This record gives sequence, C-alpha cells and structure tokens, in this order.
Amino acid sequence: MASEGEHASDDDRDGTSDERVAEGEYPFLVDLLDSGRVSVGSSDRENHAGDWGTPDDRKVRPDAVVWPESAAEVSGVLEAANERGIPVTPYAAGTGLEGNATPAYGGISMDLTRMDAILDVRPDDFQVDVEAGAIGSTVDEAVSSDGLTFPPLPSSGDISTIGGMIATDASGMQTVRYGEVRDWVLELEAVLADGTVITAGSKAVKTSSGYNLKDLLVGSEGTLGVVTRATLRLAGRPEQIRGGRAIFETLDDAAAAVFDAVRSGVDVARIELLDDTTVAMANAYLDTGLPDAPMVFLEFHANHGIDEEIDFCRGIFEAHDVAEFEMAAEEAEMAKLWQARRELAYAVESYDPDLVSLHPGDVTVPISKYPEMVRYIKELSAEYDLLAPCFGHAGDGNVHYSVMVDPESDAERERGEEVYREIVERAIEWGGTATGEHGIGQGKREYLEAEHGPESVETMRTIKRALDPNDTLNPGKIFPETAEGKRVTVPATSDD
Amino acid sequence: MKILVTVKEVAEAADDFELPDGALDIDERYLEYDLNEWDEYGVEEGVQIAEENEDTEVVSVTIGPERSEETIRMALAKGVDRAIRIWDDALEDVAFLDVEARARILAAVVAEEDPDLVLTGVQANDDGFGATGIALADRIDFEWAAVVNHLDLDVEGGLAHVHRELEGGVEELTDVELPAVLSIQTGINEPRYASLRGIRQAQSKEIVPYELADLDLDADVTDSPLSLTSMYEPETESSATVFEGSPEEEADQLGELLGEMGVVEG
Repeated sequence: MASEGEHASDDDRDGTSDERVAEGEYPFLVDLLDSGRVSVGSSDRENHAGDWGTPDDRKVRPDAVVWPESAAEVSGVLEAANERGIPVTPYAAGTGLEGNATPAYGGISMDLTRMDAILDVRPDDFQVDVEAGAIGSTVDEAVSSDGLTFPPLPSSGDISTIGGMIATDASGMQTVRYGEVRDWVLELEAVLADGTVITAGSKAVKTSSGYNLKDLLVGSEGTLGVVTRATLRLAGRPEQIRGGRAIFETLDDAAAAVFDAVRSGVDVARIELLDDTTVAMANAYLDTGLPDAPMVFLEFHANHGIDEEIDFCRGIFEAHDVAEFEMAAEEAEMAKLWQARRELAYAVESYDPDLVSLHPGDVTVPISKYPEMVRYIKELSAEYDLLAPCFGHAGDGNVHYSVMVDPESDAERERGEEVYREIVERAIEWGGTATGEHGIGQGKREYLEAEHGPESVETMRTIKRALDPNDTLNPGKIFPETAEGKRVTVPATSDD
Repeated sequence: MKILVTVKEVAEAADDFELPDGALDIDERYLEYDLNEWDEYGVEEGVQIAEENEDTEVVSVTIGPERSEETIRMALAKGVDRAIRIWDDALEDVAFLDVEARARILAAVVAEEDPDLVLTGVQANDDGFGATGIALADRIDFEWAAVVNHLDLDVEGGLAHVHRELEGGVEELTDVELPAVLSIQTGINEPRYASLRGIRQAQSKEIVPYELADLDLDADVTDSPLSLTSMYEPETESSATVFEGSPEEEADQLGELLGEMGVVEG
C-alpha cells in the first residue's frame, strides 16, 4: 500500500489485464468484476491519482481501479477490501477542487461513472431516480421535455456527476434562489464500508422518521458510504427567464448593491459578482472591449411579473450608483452578456503564464458580511502585494478567490498562503465557513476545528468510527490529523 | 400579423433496428417520434417575433396522424397560439407522401389562413428532401429564401432582412418582401425549453383537425410521380485496428501505423 504523497511503482508487465490483476496485490478483484472493469494499468491508475484540485506533487496513484456497474458490485468490492484493510476511494468525474477524490493512502479507486443510468422520471411527483455516475446536465436534459429542471447544478454541472455533487454537497449559481444540492435530494441508496447496502430518506417531500441518515451522507465526501442511487427533487421550468449585467465604478458599490438586493428580497435566480481584477482577466482573455470595472451578472426566473422584479432590482442598483444596467431581450443576447462570467476559470488560468493560483478559495459568510469580506480580501491583496481575483455566488455570500503567486518563489508562496489563511479565519470569525460548496477534502482540513470546535469534530470522528471502524472509505480526508498521516481509527489524542 | 410555422413529427430509428429484405420502411417498433429539429428553430423564431411584435399570431400546421398531437403540443407549450393538424384516410393509405403532395396540402392551408410569413425547417431529419418550403412558396406565389440563419423582420415595411448560409462559410444578405416563405436553418436562435406552466396551458390550446375535404382537396392530391422502390442499410466499412500484446508492443505497433499513415514522421 502506498503512503500519502508517495507514488506506487509502475507495473507495466506482460499479459492480459486480468492476468496482471491476478498477479498483483488484489487478485480477489478478478472474481468480483468482469474483465475490463478492474485495472492495475499505469495510465488508469494515473487518471485516478487526483482531481482538479490536486497539485502534481500531491497525486497518489491507487493500486487498482475498479468500475462497478451495480450496488451489488460496489458492495462486493467494499466488503472484500474492508476485510483486507484496503482503502477504497470513490471517484467520479474528478472535478473536485480540494483533492476530495485523491486516493491518499493508495488502495482501490472506485470509479462510479459507469453507473450513469437515468432510472425513472416521475414528472407528476417532480422526481427522478438516477444512478450516482449520471452527469448533471444529462439529468437536467432528461427531465426537460416534462417542463422540469434540476436547479442546484454547480457551474461544472455538464462535466460532473450527481454522485460527486452529493458527496461534496455542491451548489451553483442558482443556489441563491433554489438552495444547494442537499435541498434537492430526497432518498439515497448507499453502500457502507462493510458492504451493507442502505437506503436513507424517503420519496415523500417531508419526513420526521428516525435519524436523518440521508443528510449525514450528503456532503460526507465518500467517507461514510458510497452513494449508488439518488431520488432527486425537480422544479418546474419557469415561464420567464431574463438575464443581464450591471457595471459599477467601485467594488464597494457593487458588493453593497448585491447585499441590498438580497436583503430587500429581490427574487433573483443568479447574482454573480466579479471584481475589477477578474474582469480585467476576462477582458484580456475574451478581448471584449469592456471596461475593467466590477460587474454583477444577474438572472431572473418567474412565472409572471418579471419586468416588475427587474425594475425593482434596477432601482436598488441605481441607489448604489450603478454605471450601466443592461438586460437581454433574448437568450442569445443573455449568453453574450454573461460570457465573461462563464469563461472565467480559463481566463484566470491563462492570465499570466508566470503566476499560478494557490488554492481555490470558497469562503461563505452571512450576506450582511459579504461587502466587508470582499473589501477585506482586496485589502490583503494590496497589503501583501499579490493579485487576488475575487468572484463568485455573491447572493449566497459565497466568495471565490485565487491568490496568484510565482510558483518558483518560496517567499511569494508563503505570503500567498498567509493571505489565504487570513481570509478563511476571518470568514469563520464572522460566522461563516471555510467552504461553501467544494468540501474540506485535503485542502481545508486545518480549518475544520476552528470552524466547528473540537467537540463537534470529535462527534464527527465518533460517527466515522461507528460506520467505518477500519477507515476503509476515502481515508486521509476531512479530519485535521490526517494531514499528518494519522488515521481516524485511532483517537486523535493518541501519540501513535 | 400572422405567422404560419410548418412542423413535422419525424421518426428516428433505434440503434438496433432491423430492415428485412424487400421492406419499404422500418417497422414501427424500432421507431421513436420527435419534433423535427429544424422545425424547433422555426417555432422559436415565430414565437420570438410574436413576443417582439404586438398582435402577432403564430399558428403551426402539420400533416400527421393523431399520435403526432403529442409532438405538436410541445410547439404550443413553447408559445405557438394554435395548431392545425391535417389527416385523412386517403393519407393513411399513402406509403410515401412526396414534396409536391405536401406543398399542395400546405398551400390549401395557406389559402385558408392567409399568413404574412411562413416559416419551415430547411429539411426534415427523416426523409431529408429539403424542398417542401420552397415548393410551397412556388405554389402560393410567395417570395422565398432558403437556409436562413438570421432574420430581422421589418413589420411596418413588410420586409424580411435575412442572412442565408452558403457553402464555404459565406453568408448572403437578402431582403425578401412579405408575404414570404423562409426555410429556417438550425442555429438561428436557441430554442427554449417549454416551461411547466406552458406544457399545462398547451393542453387547452386548440389543435384543429382537418380532413382533405375541409381544405377543398381530393384524395388525388397525394398522387405522386415518385415511388419508393426499396430501402436498405448500406454496408458500413470499419477500419479499426486492434493492437494486441504488452503495452510496449502495442505502443510500437501504434507508432508504426501512425508512421505508415503519415501522421508522424519516422
């Protein structure tokens, strides 16, 4: 078994794939899965060594990759691995940003992407049953002809899976109106570490029955169980959708306008803010010819009266000296206005080849603290003389930010880490969270206790140990001691 | 202003369909029905024009059996005001309804409805004749433009400024006087999803069933100089090469093949 940070050795041997598995460390896998659905090949292992948020030097190749096609197969692999003390890390599209799917202790990477069926659409109940590996936008498309939609999709919804979204309790641009993924999950089928298959929740829209295991599994990052199937709640597609963009002269005005709109109850479906640094990056990338000024991107959903809602919002923005407030008449124009927001990830990445983004920031604060949070990030950026583009789902109080540093300069990296840390600590101090939608994974373990307190984290450990006493499922995540290579099986106070 | 949008329910064959020797059509059990893709863009364009211009009515017309009402309701759900469906025992018996026959039937609907603008899809993705719109324009003596990928309508001036997509990435800008028939290319707009309320409201919108006699047409309207003689699945060629051996051996073989094909030098 590989230890964290260490690459397992290559094993490019002769023979068929099955023969190589049979000769490898986990020969039992050949009996559990059909040929072609278990691999010890180096490229399969490399492809499962990390996710988007895993820097190259933190990637860990699993010793084997499996592609189960049913809950029974997931159960078979987990039972066998658990008996043998082999770690199993669930894997899906690999779009996580905190190393959530990195097999930190090697073992088996369990790839759920072949379980991607849309099982049953029940438009009369506003429900759909899907397997965990179904891609978000595929689910959304499958229910569209019934006038329905799955509204909490993250920005990565057309390349990420429902299972991954449930594991991190993802959310997206429409969360300000519709809530996060958790709010749209009714029932789950999941496989526990010892192979037990459970269902949690119910197909009723409300229930007071027993412990809420469903919400315990949502956001547990694959450390308590492997989600194999979900019943999702759906929303009706609105009659009216209008989108637009507002440009401000100062970031303070833009942030204050967003806060004022939310506090005043403007019924907005998306409200995204980009600071001037981010807009400059988007303008450079897209050659838009727009001013490098703070922008707010808006979308409204309604079944009637959308123009009144837009006028209400416009009035509030005008009170904050909006320089330009433009609403699109049709979808193509809306897409054009929103382009800068949509292409952002690429724009930030390609802005300066000599700079890299340290960590994807994801702090979320109560909305009243949002303007101060944005200002604080900009002040730190100036104080430490580092670029820190700021953007995100403003209406939720969720700020995404990058701290851009020269990867060759240790001093700059250190300053960047300091900026990053101060931002997270301030968010927690103001009653917020280190992560609004990406999860703790490996990247934010050190903030767990500061956010929840040692007693709460110890309660989390108690749950983890009860459900997964051997620390089989996705070890090396969430809990702070795992950053030092410790396992959750032993008490945190132990010196072992 | 009145806009008539012609729509067609088209069949798509499942991946595993079978076509026995001598069969002239794919058996019903392999078929799935949907609204023709090009017509979705026609519907969206019509609805957008109606949203931008007051007192504009959008009417969709289709030739098809009762089953096709399900598909047409999607057009109504997206904002079409009412629909006309033409079907007749005489049509039931016709194995193959050609362009000319369709144009004759649709011309009778135009005579009845008197639209200012007719939008058709460039083609249907089942039989792909790509001529119904233009044949209709000829028959009703309307101006026409084909493969329209941008439309700017001057309602007051009775003029359609259109962009037409030509081969080789060239676009032609043409002004077409109304009344006119425009065949709509995919990509001219982004067809909306029907809203939940729209779908419910479409249940109570009118789909008027017409028989040929209601349009003063005889059964011989379906007569065609064309006849379908056979249908078969063409042989497909596969040029897949499967490499076998250890990863090194497979890589060597791939390298050799790429060299032979001139993809890489060496």
